[in-house]
Amino acid sequence: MPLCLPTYVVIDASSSMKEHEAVLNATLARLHYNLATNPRVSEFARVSVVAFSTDVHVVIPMSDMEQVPAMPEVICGGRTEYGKTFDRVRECIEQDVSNLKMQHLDVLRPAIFFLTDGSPTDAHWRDSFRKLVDRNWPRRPHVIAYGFGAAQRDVLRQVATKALFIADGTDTESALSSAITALLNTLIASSKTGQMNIPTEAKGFEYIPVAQEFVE
Amino acid sequence: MTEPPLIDGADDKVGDGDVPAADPRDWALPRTVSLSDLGPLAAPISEHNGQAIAVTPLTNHPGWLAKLYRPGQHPEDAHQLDLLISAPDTLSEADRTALYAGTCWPAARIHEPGNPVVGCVIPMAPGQYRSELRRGAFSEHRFVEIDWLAKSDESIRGVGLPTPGFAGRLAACRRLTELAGILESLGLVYSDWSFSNAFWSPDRHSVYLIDVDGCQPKKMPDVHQPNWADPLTPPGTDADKYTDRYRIGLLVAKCLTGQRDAHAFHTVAACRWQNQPAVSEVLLDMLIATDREQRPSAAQLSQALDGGPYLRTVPRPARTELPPLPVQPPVPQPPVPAPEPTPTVKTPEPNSHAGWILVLVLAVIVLFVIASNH
Repeated sequence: MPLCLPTYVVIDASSSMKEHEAVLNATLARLHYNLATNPRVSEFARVSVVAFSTDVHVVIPMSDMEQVPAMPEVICGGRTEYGKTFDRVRECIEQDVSNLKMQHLDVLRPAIFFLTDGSPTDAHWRDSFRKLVDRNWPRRPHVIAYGFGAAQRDVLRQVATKALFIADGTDTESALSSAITALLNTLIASSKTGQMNIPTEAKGFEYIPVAQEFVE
Repeated sequence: MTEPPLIDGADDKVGDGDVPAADPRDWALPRTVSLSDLGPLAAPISEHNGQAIAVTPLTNHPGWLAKLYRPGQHPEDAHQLDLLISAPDTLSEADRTALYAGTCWPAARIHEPGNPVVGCVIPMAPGQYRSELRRGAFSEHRFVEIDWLAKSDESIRGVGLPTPGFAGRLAACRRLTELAGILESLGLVYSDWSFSNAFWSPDRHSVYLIDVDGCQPKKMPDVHQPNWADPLTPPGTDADKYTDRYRIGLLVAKCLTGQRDAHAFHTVAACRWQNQPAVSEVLLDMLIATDREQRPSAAQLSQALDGGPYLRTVPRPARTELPPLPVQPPVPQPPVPAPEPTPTVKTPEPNSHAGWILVLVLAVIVLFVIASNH
């Protein structure tokens, strides 16, 4: 059966990203182009794009990106609510993995690429996160986090379960672009081997290995 | 095609001392060169990809690349590479020409003191394999992997490439199978048949095989790529010519039908191509024969693609069932415009020019009315 990696690109679209909105959208459009013009990558990595701030929006439901005509535009604003985001992604994973299995695909553990430039504004996000990565949930995802701008290393250390990349002082727009490039490289590398393969070099980012599989 | 033995060409001589067959690619230096003989190396075009640490153009030899291997190659690897470089000498002129035109066959082994296998010299893929791929506001001029031929004509049109139609698919598959047949005739195993190791020219319907310097005689470690696993080559065992037969069958089935999953198998089973009546049976035996050693050869597939019969000297193999067809996935719902507060998503307008066109038409009508009243 064909292999498939359910991939969630979860993007911070809070008010702190407002001034970088144009770059964010251009970067997402570039991601779409690169996936849509690489059939074997888009076939392997089914992608969903989720934007979060005060609310959470599934910008692109789980799709072969070649089938998606264009990337919708994200408009930034609002708070940085991690908890709702993790809850929503958990719901998506439950549904998406079932759909992919129905298509006779061998489904790998989902991967969340979490891109943020700020700290959570909700107090109880950890409860939602624990549910998301609960080791008793067979569909728990890997989380690869990219932090830039005002993102806090200590917070992201709790979120990343597979790898953490922290911007090394690079400006937000360059970091955003680099993060998407790194994400794309991960999908390309993984599509070659059939398993999560995270290149540790991401321009403008410090790679921080994550030893633990789960956050307790 | 016969199976000539590989011969040693390390000293630019074939086994019995004859002068090697002419290499029409105009490689100017001998078949073994030191790194310093090559002159300056340009910036790498690829790094840390497979067995290579870098692939870099040779400044003094336009059109040629140095493929530099990871350290740790063994002396016997040098001998192996020399055999590979000289292998085309044993071919007929037609096959040799096809092999050189359709692959990046290595032209020389690179060595340096203390390291007999620094890498090899390979030709650059010809420019005909690069095209502009467009999607939305983006476009890029790049090599077109054969991956695209395993998509529908509609998808291919969607990125601005010329659509192949069945004739174009057939032509490309003939070239692929011809190359596979030549490798098999040389007793070489490639193992790495997949979407990423061949380029396709949508204009000329030709194909170009890369990474052929990894070919080995008779058997080699099975190169694992997702979705290309031979169900009858157990994990951990070597790939051999039967593994190659499965993979070339799979590649041709996908490229000929433009389908990638189990649909390719079902379409092959359902199709009786009028001018290639044996293709379906040959491909099914390559793909789902229960005995891997009864898979037909690339030469048999080549003959079938040329409109010939399916000739066998042994009884037809039993076959497994076709793989199950995937269930149609639910159609993704278009993104819902977000209620406040943000973030919101704004779907691109399908035709943002439509409003302007309407305004223009109305303006022309008004002008006509004004003109007719004067």
